[in-house]
Amino acid sequence: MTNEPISDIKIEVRNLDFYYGATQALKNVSMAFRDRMVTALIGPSGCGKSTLLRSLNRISDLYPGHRATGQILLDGENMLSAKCDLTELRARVGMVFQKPTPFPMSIYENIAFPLRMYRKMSQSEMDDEVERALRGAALWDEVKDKIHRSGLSLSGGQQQRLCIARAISIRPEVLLLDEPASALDPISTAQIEELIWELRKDYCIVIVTHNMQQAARVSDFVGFMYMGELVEFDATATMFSSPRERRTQDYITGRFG
Amino acid sequence: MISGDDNHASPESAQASSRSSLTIAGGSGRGVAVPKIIRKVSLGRRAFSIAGWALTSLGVGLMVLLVGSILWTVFVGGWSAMSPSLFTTVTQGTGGGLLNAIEGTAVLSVGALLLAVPLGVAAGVYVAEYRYSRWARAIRFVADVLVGVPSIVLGYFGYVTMVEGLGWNFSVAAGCIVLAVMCLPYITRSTEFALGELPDALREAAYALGMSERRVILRVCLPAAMPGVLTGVMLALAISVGETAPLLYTAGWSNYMWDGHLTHSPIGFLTYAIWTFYSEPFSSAVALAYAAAFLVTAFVFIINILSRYIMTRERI
Repeated sequence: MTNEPISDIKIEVRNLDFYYGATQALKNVSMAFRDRMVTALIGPSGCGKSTLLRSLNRISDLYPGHRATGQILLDGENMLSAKCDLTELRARVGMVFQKPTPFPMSIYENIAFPLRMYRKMSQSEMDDEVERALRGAALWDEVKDKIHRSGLSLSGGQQQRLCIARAISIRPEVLLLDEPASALDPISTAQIEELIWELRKDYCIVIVTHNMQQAARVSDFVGFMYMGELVEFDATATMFSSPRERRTQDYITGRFG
Repeated sequence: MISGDDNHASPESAQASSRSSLTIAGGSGRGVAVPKIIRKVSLGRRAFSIAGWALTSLGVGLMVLLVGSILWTVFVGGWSAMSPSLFTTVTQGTGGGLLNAIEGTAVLSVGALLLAVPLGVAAGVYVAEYRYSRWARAIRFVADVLVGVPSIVLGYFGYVTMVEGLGWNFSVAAGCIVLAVMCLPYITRSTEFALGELPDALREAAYALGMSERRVILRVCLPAAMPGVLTGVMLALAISVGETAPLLYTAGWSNYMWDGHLTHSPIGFLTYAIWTFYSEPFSSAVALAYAAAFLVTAFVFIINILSRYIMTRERI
């Protein structure tokens, strides 16, 4: 991965401070997420990695008492400004959560329903789009014969891939993954990791994970966070072989966290 | 292992080991005594367990006996009173059929639900989605108070305000409104509960796709919470079918079919037949009371089973 050309910066975070009420969850974080690359955020629980991820599509707005200062630039435009249209932002920045969250409708509708919000299309076009999304999430072959069954009838790993399919169906530019495999068995985890590596060709991917091996396997860059600060940020190979900071080394070798 | 140890243990050594068992509890001593401790504890536990089982069985037994005897009485009395004419003729004095009462109960219950379901679900959604707001807390409080108000008080309130105050007389409108007020808190609380049970991630996932709040609530959360909401509606239906006191004051009673007027026209209902005819000295009247009790009980029974089925059918 080192001999690939360095791609463009998709999201740039500048001096981001984030507060929940009086608690400061992020302290002056600055970093860049590159397009068509996977950036992993690691760190112990409560270090702010999830908060940072949730700031990137402003889903953090849902929490009462939140406040963010600084800048988050998506293709150069500050998404923290009041002018930012949240619907458009979230259409461009998709997200997949730790626990699979299929909607209480059929597999087909799970994808078609959000898609319909953005584009009017004929039934056959919609069928194509649903198939494209399911293929993109490596789920099509498993569900093509039961596409009108409830999304809740799928296994955990399949549900998570359905959620990824749903996220990519609206053709976002960025995918945020919040511990997408931590609730899954090893085989499903391997499938999801393979899928992330596939999706990397088309998207800027940011993944939060507790699993060091996973970060090493799937990411191009790693950011290590601790107590709301970005301690170290570097190429994955460098981070795991020769981290500059003592704290990073202690964490990735399992001495704390 | 325990029994093997016991077999060749003299009373003396048993004493010794039970003494050493105390030292083990303190953290040091011979390993032999450990099974002793476990056995002693397990004896106490077993006694406790047996007592627990006995008490629970007694409780369940009493419960089954009670419900069983009620159902039996109603069934035996009601079954013999069943006849086709019950469903085809109206009440005549202390005899005749129950068609007017069956129709009345249906009209009143459906009317009450038509009022209470939209209001109750809307209030439940509000309380669940804005759970920390002052209004949500107020609604929750009012709902809890309303559950505790005796139904006869609500009935009398309806009598004073609508039957007398607004001059509606005994009427369908007054009956439906009082029943709706009774049902409201159950629907509100079960809707709130069902929405509160949903994982936060479901809501977040919907928002993360760029959905508006309206869409998230109406298209994602409410359908996901539907089993719980429906259970509340079923409960409300059971309540409105089985209520007597509030209707005595508001719906009145009528031997005739409903004339379609919302006000100035009393209407019959099944629980009135139970309440009044049971104490009449005519066997035809008592039979009507049993028949009405049978119908109400059977209906509530079916609703209960249905709502259980809905609850367990598909969960997130």
